[in-house]
Order: sequence, then structure tokens, then C-alpha cells
Amino acid sequence: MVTRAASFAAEVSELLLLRLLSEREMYGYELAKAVQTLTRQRLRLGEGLLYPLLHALEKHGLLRSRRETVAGRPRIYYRTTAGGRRHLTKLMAHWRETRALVSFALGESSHA
Amino acid sequence: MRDDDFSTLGERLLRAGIAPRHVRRLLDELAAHHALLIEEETGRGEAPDTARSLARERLGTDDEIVARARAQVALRSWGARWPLACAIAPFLGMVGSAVLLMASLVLLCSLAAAGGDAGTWLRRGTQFTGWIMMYGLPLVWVYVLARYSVSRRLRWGWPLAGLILTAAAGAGTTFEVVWPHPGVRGQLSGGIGLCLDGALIFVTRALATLIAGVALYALIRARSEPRTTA
Repeated sequence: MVTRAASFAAEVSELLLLRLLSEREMYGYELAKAVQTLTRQRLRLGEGLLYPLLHALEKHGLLRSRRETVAGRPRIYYRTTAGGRRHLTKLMAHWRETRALVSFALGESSHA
Repeated sequence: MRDDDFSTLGERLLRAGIAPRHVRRLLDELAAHHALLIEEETGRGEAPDTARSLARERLGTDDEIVARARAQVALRSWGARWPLACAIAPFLGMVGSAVLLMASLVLLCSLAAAGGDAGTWLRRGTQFTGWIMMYGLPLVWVYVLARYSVSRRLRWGWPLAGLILTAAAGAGTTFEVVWPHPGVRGQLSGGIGLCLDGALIFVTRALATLIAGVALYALIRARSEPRTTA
């Protein structure tokens, strides 16, 4: 159960990151802020938890990165690749399907 | 400069099987993010120490970060994903490089022979290469194995199996050269195998490589131990 919940959370995080990074390139801190803004501060994840996911997405070819040094600190900018955008489309379709299914199961006819 | 807050996290990530290049990058990014969060908290009027601990809290606990990294199989080193490879890869590397050296020597000697008698440089070079093949290559490969195992914090079982296999392959490597004389054709021969007549030599060479491998492992490990600060 814990694993499924964790996997669900990971899928949501993946969806959000790909969605944000398909719009423009961002680095980790900026991305964490954008996630908070996008979710109206309701989704509070440990900000450091973004990085393992970012690295894995890059390793799978869904993101690409470039390194820059700003004020003596390394800053790695991420951006969605063409493959990442295709994966995002699939994830969004899957998400809509899941949401519709859950709404149907809960007896809701429309979403708030 | 890496933040001290992350030294134990780095060690934990390595022990969780995360590849060193990902660990280094994770720590760099976390340290940079941490610094920005500290600035943010300080900007809100928090005292430096409070800002530091609040920033660390916002990043997530070490347990959470390690669990999240461990969940990403793509971030694990191949030694953590396929530990059996640690036993087989150095053995194959040892055999492969011996075959490659031997093939290069055969080619070189054939070319030199076509041009007349083998010169002194060729004789010395051939003997030296043969010596490297028999005694140098096993040491090179046990060093590579020791370094890889320590840097990935692998459990000792599979690397030890790799060490034994590599030492055995090294001990079983033979090399012989007969230089051409009038009426005698030159011969260059090499191989890997166990000859019962030379069992004592085989065991001695294998043990020497094993001892060298264990010593190298201990030395590299001692040098890479995280420094604990009071």
C-alpha cells in the first residue's frame, strides 16, 4: 500500500515536473517554487526530493540539462526533450482517465 | 564547496547503490538549493542557525532523499544492479587484455620478421610485454576492481569472487618466446590455463595477486573513509 502511494506520488511529481519544464528551462530551486505556485502551496514535497526524479528523467532521455555557475555555485538547468513531451502527453491522458474513473466510482458526474 | 550538512547523506546514497556521479551531482544541487533556502529564510528575518535548520527541513530528511533516490533504478551503479558482473567483468577484462597484448605482439613480430632478424629492441620489448601480461595485467585488473568496489561501497562477496577469478586467470597466464636461429623458426606462445606440473607456481602467483588485491582494497578503502568531525 505504501509502495502504491509512493508510486502515485512519484507519478504526480513526474507529471508536474515535465509539464513545468516543457514551458521553459528551470533549475531545482526555481522548479520547487513553480510546483508550489502551480499547486497553490497545497502540495508540499521535500524540495530535495525533486533531484533524484530529475536525474532519473534525464537518464531516461525525457529531460536534458546544462550546467552553469552562478555566484560560485553550480546551477543545473533542466528542460523537457521531444521524448519528454510525448511522455507528458501520455501521462496527462493517463491522469485524465484515472481522474474520470475515480470520479465515476465516487458517483460524481462532474468535477469541481 | 560542499556543505558539511550533506557529508553523511553522500555516504548513505553511495551505500544505497547510487552511482558516484549521481551522488556528486545530487550533493552539489542540494547544497546550492540549501544555500538559497537559507538566504530565503534569513530574508524573512530568521536567525542564521534557525534559517539553516529550517532550510534543511524544507529539503526533506536524509531518509526521504535516500528512499527517493533508491526508488530510481536508473541512478544505481551497474555494480549495485548486477553485482555478479563484479565477479566476471575483471576476469573477462584480464583475459581480453592478455589476448589483445598477445595479438599485438604476434603482429609486431611478424612484421619485424618479414624485415629480417629481430633487433634488440624487439627482443627486449617482447620479453617486457610478456612479463606485463603475466604479472602486470592481474595487478591492474585487481586494482580496477578494488577501486570500483570501494567507490560504489559494494558488499565484499562478489568483488572477492572477482578477485579470486582474476588472480587465478593471472596465475594461469603463460608466455613463451623462442627467437629464430639459423635452422630454427621463431615461436611466440601464450595461453591461460592450469598445468598440474606447475601447480606450486600457479598457487604462489595466485596468492600473491590475491594478497596484493586485498591490500589495495584495504588501502583505497582507508583513504576513502568519510572523515568524522567532532
